[in-house]
Amino acid sequence: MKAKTFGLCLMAALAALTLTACGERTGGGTFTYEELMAKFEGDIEENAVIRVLDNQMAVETGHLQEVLDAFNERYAEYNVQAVDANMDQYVDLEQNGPDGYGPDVLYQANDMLMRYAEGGHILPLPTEELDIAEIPSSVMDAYKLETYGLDLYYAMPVAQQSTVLTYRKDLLPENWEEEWDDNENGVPDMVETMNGLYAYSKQVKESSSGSKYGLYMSLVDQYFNTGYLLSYGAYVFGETHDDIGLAADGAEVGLNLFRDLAGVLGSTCISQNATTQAATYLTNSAGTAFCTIGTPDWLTTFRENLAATYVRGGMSEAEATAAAEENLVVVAPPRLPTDGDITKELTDIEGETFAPTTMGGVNAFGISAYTKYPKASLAFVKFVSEYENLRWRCEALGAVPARLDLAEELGGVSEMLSERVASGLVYMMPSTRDTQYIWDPLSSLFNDVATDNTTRNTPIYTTEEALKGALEKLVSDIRSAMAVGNIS
Amino acid sequence: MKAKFRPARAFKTALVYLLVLLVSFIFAFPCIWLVLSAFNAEGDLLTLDGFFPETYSLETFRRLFTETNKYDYPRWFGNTLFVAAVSCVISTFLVIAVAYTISRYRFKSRKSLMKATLILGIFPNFMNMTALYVIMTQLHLINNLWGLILLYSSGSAMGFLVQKGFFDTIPSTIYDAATLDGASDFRVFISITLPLSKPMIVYTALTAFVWPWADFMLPSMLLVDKSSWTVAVGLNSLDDSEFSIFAAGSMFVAVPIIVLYVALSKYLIEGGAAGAVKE
Amino acid sequence: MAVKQGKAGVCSDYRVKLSCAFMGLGQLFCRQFIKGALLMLFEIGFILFLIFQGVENIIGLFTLGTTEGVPIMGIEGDNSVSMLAWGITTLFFIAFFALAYHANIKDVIFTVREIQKGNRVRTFRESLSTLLNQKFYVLTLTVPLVFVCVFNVMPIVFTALVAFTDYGGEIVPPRLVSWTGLQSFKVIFTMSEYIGTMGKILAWNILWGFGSTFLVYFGGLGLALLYNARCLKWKRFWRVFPMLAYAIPSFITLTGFCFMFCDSGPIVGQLKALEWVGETFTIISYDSKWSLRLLGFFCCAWIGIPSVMFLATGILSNASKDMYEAARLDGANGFQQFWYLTLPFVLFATTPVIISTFINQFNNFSIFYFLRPETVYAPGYFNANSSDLLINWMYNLTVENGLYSLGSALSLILFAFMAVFSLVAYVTSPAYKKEDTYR
Repeated sequence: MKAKTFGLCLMAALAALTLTACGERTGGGTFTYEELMAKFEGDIEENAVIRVLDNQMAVETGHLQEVLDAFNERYAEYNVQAVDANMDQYVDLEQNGPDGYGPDVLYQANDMLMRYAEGGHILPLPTEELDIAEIPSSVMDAYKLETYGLDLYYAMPVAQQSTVLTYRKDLLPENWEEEWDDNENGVPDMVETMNGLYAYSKQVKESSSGSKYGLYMSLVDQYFNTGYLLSYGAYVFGETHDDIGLAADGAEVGLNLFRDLAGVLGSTCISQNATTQAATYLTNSAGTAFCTIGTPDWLTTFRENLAATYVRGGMSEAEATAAAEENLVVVAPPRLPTDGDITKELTDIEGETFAPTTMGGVNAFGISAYTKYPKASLAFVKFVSEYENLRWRCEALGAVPARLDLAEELGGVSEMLSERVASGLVYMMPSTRDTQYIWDPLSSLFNDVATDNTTRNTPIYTTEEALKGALEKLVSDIRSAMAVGNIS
Repeated sequence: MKAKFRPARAFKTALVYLLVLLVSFIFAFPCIWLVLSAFNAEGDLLTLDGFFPETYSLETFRRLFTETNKYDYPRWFGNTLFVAAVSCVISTFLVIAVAYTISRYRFKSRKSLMKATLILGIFPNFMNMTALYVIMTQLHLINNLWGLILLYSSGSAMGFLVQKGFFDTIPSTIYDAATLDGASDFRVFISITLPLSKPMIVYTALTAFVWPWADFMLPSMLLVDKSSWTVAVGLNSLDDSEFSIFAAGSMFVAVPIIVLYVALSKYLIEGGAAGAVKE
Repeated sequence: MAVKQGKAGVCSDYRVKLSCAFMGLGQLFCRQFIKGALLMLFEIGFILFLIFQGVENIIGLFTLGTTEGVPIMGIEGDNSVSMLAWGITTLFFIAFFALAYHANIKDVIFTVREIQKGNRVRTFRESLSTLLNQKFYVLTLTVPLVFVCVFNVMPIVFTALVAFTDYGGEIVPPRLVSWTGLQSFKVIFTMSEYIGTMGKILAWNILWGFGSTFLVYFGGLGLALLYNARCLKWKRFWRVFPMLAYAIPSFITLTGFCFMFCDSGPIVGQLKALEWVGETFTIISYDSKWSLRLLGFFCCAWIGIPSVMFLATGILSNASKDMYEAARLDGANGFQQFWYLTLPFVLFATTPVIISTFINQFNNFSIFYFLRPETVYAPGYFNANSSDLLINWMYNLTVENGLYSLGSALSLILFAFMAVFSLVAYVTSPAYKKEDTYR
């Protein structure tokens, strides 16, 4: 009996061995450009149903639905049905795509989309069919990935994401022209320089005993706050991904600046919620916050909220809308002091400050590799990237177009940001899978440093060495996260 | 003879009432706070004046049910109700059947079944989340409310021990008499066991209803499409600046359960205790 | 001896041998045609399944796929993860078939023995009615058993197996997963980030497990006694309040508490306004450790105490009145009655409750998931924060960061810990000793 069991076990083990041995694995092979693009050739599929994932604002404002209707109407002869994917805007294609639950067309930022591209989850697009002549090559490069020895582009850039400051004109102090315009250029100092903003925030906070804010924004938002590090010489990845430059020389100056800023904003801003809270504070009747730093497309929400506040205050719908539009001003992020000290008073604004570098990204439409209707999906991407439709989107959602000609036509914020991009002041977040590993450690760093100057009883980041140490730790955390991601 | 005034007893009574008042306050206050927040005119947390809103309005409730392109609350609510009601029926049936069987019959693998249940119970539910997700994709049950129903029903089948404890208390002489009369086991179950176990059935149904009603983890994992979301997933997806929407949405989730619990509290107490007590 | 011989005699019967060779064949020769045919159909079906799918699935379980898919070319390769799932399913099928085969042989032995005794062979209808009577349990247990196998046992096996692969991180479909043996455990036990984090979290988790169980259990018991006090009027009314806490779904309660105690919430605001605390006071913040842990205990008590209280109330009402009468006659005071009568009685009756409370609290995911809603990782912790329990860490690893194999390895370790604890607790519990089994 025992011998029999033993024999059976032996046989099973042998079978397992042979089975594992015969599992010779074959890779994917290699393909030419023509082969890769073959799926896009020909008429679009009849009766296709494509699920489009757009950002929350496009869904909430109803813009997406209008676009879908217009698209469906244009391709009515093929009976194409483009529908709202109706998923969370950050849904993970890597998880849902292979099983067929992901969207067909998706609108996300370049770090996400290119992560999918590296994993082979989105399709390289036939650039010759897309209208990319007016998109700067630096922007297109964010979507370039070498595949099978070819330089392929994986998505159609639509909107620039970068940092702007939005403030409420009516909350400016009455005497700002005398008191808060040292260089007499007609721009209030508190939105021109960080030193001015710091001083003003402090004043507002003290005079309202903490119930009001000058600047109100999330202190843990990695995307916006990394700009302070980048402005003083930090970078994300160097030549290789082993070279993580977030602790590069000078970064500690930026971190110290951030720490000072945190001190005046207070502990209520140490929360991701502060980002959404800003939309309320900036627009309520009390005027809890004077300004916030965020992406330009928030303006649409701010205007809506402020108009609603005015309506509640007794204005008519039209008056309120006009007043809200008039009252909210978007400007470039404030200039930073060269020596990193925002607590001092500036004497020579031009000489002592410089325009900051901010983190930026490009949002684009990509096509899932798991779509059953590549041609219809491509048709949709082409449709939304038409000049007129892009303008429609930018106007409806306050997005800053990736196209130069459109940015010029729209003027205002769009033009201002395009200029910043052109002059290299926008640091494009790296379009690679490894970018995903920087966010959590960065968030922890900002949490840590902001807490240090707000609710911590015995602050530790009071010296340059301590700040440098925090940055070194950040880099080593990112390294560990990358290492574990690669082992597993 | 008149009842004498006894200071010690009076002191004890006062102490008991004091404690009860304190406990009631601790339990009631957060609930009241949440309810009043739902009526906050401004809509977000920081506009509270101290603990409570400055101005009250019904605006939140209007938004909750009309702004469906932001949050499709009526739909989430319908989904939740559907999942909870169907799983409640199926789970109750399964649990009662299993508990009755294990309590009444003696068969070879009975004890090993019970031990296996205990060991399986040690595994935290969502330790298997990844695996469940994979299995559900293979069964094409992602985004499908029936998938959730299946999971809740099978999950609740594991929790039969309380009900089994209750059935153990029904004396076997009743069964023997019925069996002698020639009734089949199935008939005995229908005509004798079920009527005797009303409190237990109510208890089982209630717990089987509440789990899917209030669960967050499973639906957040298995429902990708917003139109299939349940209230728990939907409310948690809200921005924090929508605190009063959260509070208002929560009210409609919590109130039915509270009413059910209060109305059925007798069964709840009896049922839970009957299952737990070891004779 | 006679029995043994009888068995040997039965086993050498040609019909038994036939059934050993092919399910149902022996039954056919016993003139049980319908049953025999059904059994044969079952085996044929199983063999067909093996040929067309089963063998492939088993091979897949070992190789985890051989051709990598290229989704951008529409080339569907092997999906290692679903192959793993189907491989396990096939093993389950085989095990089930083996059970059925065994039952089939037992059945034919029974029938042959009946024939040898000269009894009449059961008809199909009679077999069916046995199913409704003596074997009623087969009928009621099959469906739940299948459910539990598919949705509880299989995921556990799957999770356990994933711990021995490299699934996760960059290796997700369409890339192929492979078996890597103890690699994940090695990473957990050798990488300084992991072992350090695990030590700290485990220590806190154990403290939390015992602390919260103690709190919830004795809090519930105390409350039950309080509400049972003879001098208390309108008991039903007062019980509504804990009922509130019992009824409100915990995700609402916890999110509510999170709002209440956060920096911009009313509690901190009021305390600061009253100047009872300094400007730096905070409860939920990035590096708050003990304040958040204590808040966790409070919320856990708020949520957990009522359920224990109701249970204890029910149990107390079952306690024999005579016992107390006798005690009173013997001159025992209130405290003595509690200490020598109530407590042992309740403790004995609720040992399983204590153990299940401990298991639930030890794995209480939602408390700190909802109380610290943002994913921030504290210094000295890898992918975790100081208030996180093992289960929260596991969630961070798998759901947030997609490190499936590491998460699975961790959950195996967690399970080993829980299993040892629970078994020891059950074996030493009075209920177990007295009843020899937990009922």
